[in-house]
Amino acid sequence: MTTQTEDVEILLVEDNPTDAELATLALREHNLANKLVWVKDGAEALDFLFATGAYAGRKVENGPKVVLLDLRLPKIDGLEVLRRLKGDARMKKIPVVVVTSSREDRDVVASYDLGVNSYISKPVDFEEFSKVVSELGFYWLLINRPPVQGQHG
Amino acid sequence: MSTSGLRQLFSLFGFVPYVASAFVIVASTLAIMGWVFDANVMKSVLPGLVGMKINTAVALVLAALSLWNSQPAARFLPQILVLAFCGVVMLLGVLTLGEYITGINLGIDELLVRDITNLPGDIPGRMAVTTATCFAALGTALFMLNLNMSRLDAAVQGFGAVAILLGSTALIGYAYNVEALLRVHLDYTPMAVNTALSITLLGIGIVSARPNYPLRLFIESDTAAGTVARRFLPMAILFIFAAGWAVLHGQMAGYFEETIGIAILAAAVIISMGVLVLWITRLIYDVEVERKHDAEELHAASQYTRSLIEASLDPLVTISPDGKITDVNEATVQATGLARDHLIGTDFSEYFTEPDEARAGYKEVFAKGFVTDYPLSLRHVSGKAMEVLYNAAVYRNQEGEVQGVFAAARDITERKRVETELQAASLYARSLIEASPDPLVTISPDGKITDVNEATVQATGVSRVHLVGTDFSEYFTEPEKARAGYQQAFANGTVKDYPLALRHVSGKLMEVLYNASVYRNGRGEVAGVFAAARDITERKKAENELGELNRTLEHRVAERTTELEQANAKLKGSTAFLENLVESIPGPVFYKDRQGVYLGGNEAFFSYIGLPRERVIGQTVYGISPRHLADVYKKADDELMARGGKQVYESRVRYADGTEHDVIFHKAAYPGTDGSVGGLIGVILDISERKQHEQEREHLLAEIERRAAALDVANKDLEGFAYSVSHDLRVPLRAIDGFSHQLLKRYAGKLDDEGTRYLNIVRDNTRKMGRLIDDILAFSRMGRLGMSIVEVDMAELVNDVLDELKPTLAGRDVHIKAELLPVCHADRAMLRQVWMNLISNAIKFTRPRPSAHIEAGGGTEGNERVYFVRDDGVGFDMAYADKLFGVFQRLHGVEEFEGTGIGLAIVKRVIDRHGGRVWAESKINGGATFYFALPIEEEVI
Repeated sequence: MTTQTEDVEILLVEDNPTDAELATLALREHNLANKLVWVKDGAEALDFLFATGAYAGRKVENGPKVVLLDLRLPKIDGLEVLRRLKGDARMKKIPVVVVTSSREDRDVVASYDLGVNSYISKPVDFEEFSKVVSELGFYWLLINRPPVQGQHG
Repeated sequence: MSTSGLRQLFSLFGFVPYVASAFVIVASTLAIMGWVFDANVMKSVLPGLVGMKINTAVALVLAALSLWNSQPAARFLPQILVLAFCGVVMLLGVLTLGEYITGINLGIDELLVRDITNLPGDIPGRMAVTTATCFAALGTALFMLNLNMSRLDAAVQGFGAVAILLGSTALIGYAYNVEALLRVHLDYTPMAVNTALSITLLGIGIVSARPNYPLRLFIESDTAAGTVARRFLPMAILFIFAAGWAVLHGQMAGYFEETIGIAILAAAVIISMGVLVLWITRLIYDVEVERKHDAEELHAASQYTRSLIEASLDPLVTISPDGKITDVNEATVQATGLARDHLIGTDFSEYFTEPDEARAGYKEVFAKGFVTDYPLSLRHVSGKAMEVLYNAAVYRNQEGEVQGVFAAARDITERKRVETELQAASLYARSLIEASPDPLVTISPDGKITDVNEATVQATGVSRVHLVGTDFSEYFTEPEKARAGYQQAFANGTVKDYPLALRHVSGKLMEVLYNASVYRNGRGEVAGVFAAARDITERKKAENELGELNRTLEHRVAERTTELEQANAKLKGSTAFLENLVESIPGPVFYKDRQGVYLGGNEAFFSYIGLPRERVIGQTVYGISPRHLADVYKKADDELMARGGKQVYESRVRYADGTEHDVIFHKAAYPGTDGSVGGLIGVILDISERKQHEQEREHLLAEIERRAAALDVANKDLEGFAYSVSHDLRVPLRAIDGFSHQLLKRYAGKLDDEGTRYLNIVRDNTRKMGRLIDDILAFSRMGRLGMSIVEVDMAELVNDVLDELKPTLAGRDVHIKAELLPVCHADRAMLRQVWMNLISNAIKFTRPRPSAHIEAGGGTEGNERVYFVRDDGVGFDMAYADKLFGVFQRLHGVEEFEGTGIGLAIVKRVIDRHGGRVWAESKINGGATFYFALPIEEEVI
């Protein structure tokens, strides 16, 4: 876990510290947790993303490259965070992966309606969880390379 | 020179007086100047000749001025002065003549200038005796001329001629050189040559001073006489003068003697005159012949005109300004019956029935120049009158003066008669139209009324002037139909018996049948429609009345029949039957008469109200019921009696025991002998018990609703619980598993084998619990989720499920067959879960088999679609078949076949919700077949 706010690649929005730690562990197993920021609720997530409040000094352009978002969050819930992100011209290109315990159809449908890029439900089995999280994180990090670098390659 | 050229020249003859005056004034003025400057040539023209005396010169000037002034166009001196000049001239002439005759010198000769004369016979200053005579004549002539009196014209010309005669004689004398000869023998002063010329010219000026004087009149005239004058006069003068001169000089030269000279002269004059006369005669002859020809043509034209006039059928007359007939044609003779001779010279007006009108007519013509179509009535001598129209105009002579009136009459008697007859015929037709009782109208092509008769006025109540020009259609109840009617008439020429309703202004309607046909104008074009209406209101009314009468009759017959039948039925059915019937009815029955008096009832009724029969019969309701209820019954009874039929109402009745009960009254009116309502019969239905049941039911329903609401709340709670479980229960499980994993991974070296085994057991159970939670949630979801029924392609759905299950078949030999799967109507997601559970069970329970066979299929049986999944797995004991579909019911050990025991419960729940059923058949180790059936009806919602 890191607290640096520059060149953030993954923003993890998770209220449960245990789940957050497990997610971090899973990502770290695949060396994806170096540039990860963890926030505990929807309000903090929005502050970070839009560089407001406690994150006012941050530059919006500095990421993250992907957001891992829980739905059941204090203050502002995950669907609302998703709605704000996808409704903003600068933010809507950032891929959002909903990572949640809920397997309710209504949550899945609502998430896709709001333009989520992936939806995964957290399995009880850590290995399974680790696999899914890291695959998705890796995939979206790769996809979200800046276009300029892609042209030189 | 042509005739016309000569005439043009002589048309200048009017200037002769001016030319003469001017010449004389010049010559005389020269002579006066000769006297003043003593220049003899100016007095005598040629040296040696006698000069003009001063008196003569002055007199000539005065005479010339008088002649000039006599011309109306050139008058510049006052008349009195001119008359004085003339007097002076005349006096000078007379006084000088007096001196010659008496020999007394009056001293007038040298009054102006002293004269010295050396010629023999000359008296100093005195003019010649002929000159004096000429002055006397000229003075007189000019005096009279300037008086402007036409009766003195002859005298003026006479005195003028004297001056010409004397003056020209002197001139000829000079020309023939006679003067010089004469003077030798005469001892008086001769006339000077310029004096002679002046006097001659003044004389000519005087005789041509007025246009009507013969000389000027003839010379200027366009007639044969004018031609003669113009040609003969100058020629005669010239020839005779020339002949005389030649003969005289020949004689003086000694060529011939005096007698022969005279003979030659006579011969010359005769020949020249003869030639001249012949020449002139020929001219006159030509003119005369031409004139005669013209006259003949004129006469022929006149004859032609005359015959035209005579041929005219119209009476023609000419009338003089004083109203006398001057000419008539034959038609006038016929029209008046009077001979031409008799008519001419009589008063025009006396041949008319109104002479004053006739007189006014021709006077108007003289005043205006014409009249047109002036109506008069010409009277025949027999007394018959002829109606005529006069057209007349004035006619004029060549000078444009009105000579009379030419009047032409046109006989219009026949025309008038035809007109009158036509008018009579029209009036006759009109009176026929007016007399018609049917409303008649004429309609223009644009639908406007152009004429109506009195009947139409009566039918509409609108006056004729208001009807004409309005729309025909607006007087009918159905204007569109009325319009269609006359349009049909215009299109087809006629319409017959076209029904319409004519509306009177008062609103009263008249049923009419219209017959209409087009009528045409003189050129055969359709001018309009003539429409006649026949009032059929009465007829219709009569028809309606007849119909009504028939219906009433039929109705009465029917009624009477019914009555008879009823009477028969009454007679047939015994009273006992009725009484028994009434008695047999378990409920209370009663009957009353028209006045509401009880006539009877059954025992149930009397026991019901708790009063004996005899206490009730003969009473009204007021006799047996409390007043507040009696009022209600009475009101209901009266209403039923008034209208007949049946009556049903709820009310309350007091029982004999004093309790009041809810009842329903069923009452019906029955007819009396006269057919009207004779009374009523009533049945009382006690509904107290029913009312009680109703209340209980309502109470129960409310209880059910309350419980349903509570259940709903409970369901909601459960849903919330399930949702929480799906999240909250899994969070700690995940933590347990996750950190067990970390422990195993990071602290592998510090744990012994037993520790590792324990941790794995922890993890294994954690995962099982996770699955259990998922299954419970799925089961709960199947029960509470809404269903969306669609057409489901079962074959596709099964293949989909098989694809998903493929990983679980890894390393196994399983033959799966899926065919004959008919479509159905169901919730697709739920059915997917059903197939998923059944097929995965089949896979699971065939695991011990080295080679397994699984078959999915279906078909239609009666009202159901039946599907199955068959395997050749371990099967189960049919003794426990009823427990198969219970929650957490397992027929196999967990160690043998993993599972939560919820899969088949989910299957049953889904099929139950679709209104279908599930069952299974199996033998231990003989495989199993799971069936589910769905109803085909689409109302599986």
